[in-house]
Amino acid sequence: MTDINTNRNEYLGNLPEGLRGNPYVVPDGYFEDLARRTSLRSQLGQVMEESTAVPEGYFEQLRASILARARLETLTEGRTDAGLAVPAGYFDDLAEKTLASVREAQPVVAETPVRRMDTRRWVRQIAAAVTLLAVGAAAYFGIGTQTSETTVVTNLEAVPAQEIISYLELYAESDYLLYQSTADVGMEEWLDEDFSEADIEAYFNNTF
Amino acid sequence: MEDAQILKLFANEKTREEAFASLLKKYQQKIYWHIRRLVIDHDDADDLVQDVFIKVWKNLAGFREDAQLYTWIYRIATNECLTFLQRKKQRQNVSLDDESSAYLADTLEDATYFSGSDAQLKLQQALLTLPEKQRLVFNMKYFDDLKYDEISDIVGTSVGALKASYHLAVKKIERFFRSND
Repeated sequence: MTDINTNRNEYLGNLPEGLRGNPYVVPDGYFEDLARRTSLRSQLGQVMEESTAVPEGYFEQLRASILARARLETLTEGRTDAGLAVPAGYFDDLAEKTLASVREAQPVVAETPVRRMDTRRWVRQIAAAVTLLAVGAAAYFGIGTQTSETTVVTNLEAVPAQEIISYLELYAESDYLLYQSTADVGMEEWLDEDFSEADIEAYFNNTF
Repeated sequence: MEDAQILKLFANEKTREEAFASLLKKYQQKIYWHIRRLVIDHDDADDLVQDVFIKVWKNLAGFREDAQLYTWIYRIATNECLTFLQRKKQRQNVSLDDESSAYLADTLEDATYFSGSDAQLKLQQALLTLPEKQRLVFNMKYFDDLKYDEISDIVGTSVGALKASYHLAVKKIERFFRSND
């Protein structure tokens, strides 16, 4: 490593030889103590590092996250509406317009008429059903030598037509026919209404 | 202890501290004076030399041995000094265009632990008029007596550029001496 008097003097110029001496000094015992102090400092540094450890890659992610957020701030200029705009006064009219639309909208009803029955009619229909069952049972278990079919026919002839219709309605396999209790709010208007022939026809067309 | 032996002992966890103590003993003075001549103040040099060896401790396991160990330590010390001086310049609001080390003139004047002659003081003052890297090259050549290819390994500059830099530094110092007689 040492290359005395060759390279050093090569471009020394006119500098006095005596200048080469070291003008700086150190406190007494400095170098004797330096190793111990350096070791101590290294251990202290390690302890401090361990106590302030962060997850691996934290600062890289933090930097990326901050940069991304700064870019977003610049792009949006602090706006939170994602750049979308609405016409002037839009929100002032919105509630009113929405209500008006709701009022205009056709009520959602079943295509078939909704029949509503009161309790009295329920009782009449149950009575009709019981009667029919009784007749049917009697016919089934046979009275005399008449055929069951004839017996049924004979027994059915004794049942009023309206009762039969009511019975059939009660047991119709239709998903379109709705029965609602008179307890339903706002349904009073339906209770006493007479159905037109067109309504009944429409009902039967959808039922069968 | 030879560098190879130090590295071998350091690789073994049981003998790591012993290896590091040997390394400190071998290089601490050289590195200290290298730093001291750059930063002038003893307390600053004291801080920096410890920082340097702590870095050595942390990174020695990864030392690739593609350079001499002392060159590697010198490089760490040099970089630490240059970073320190840069920060000191900023703290003192020195213009970045001012490449000289004139901002250290007060430090030299106030320096305790200076027992040089008037001529040596004048030389140090002359050195502070040089750009930092030129002063660095002069110190390593004139005081540390390193070879140009060793200095080239440390600072990462070509030998030719280093020779030119050193030659210019000598000329400037001569001029300073003539104008401050």
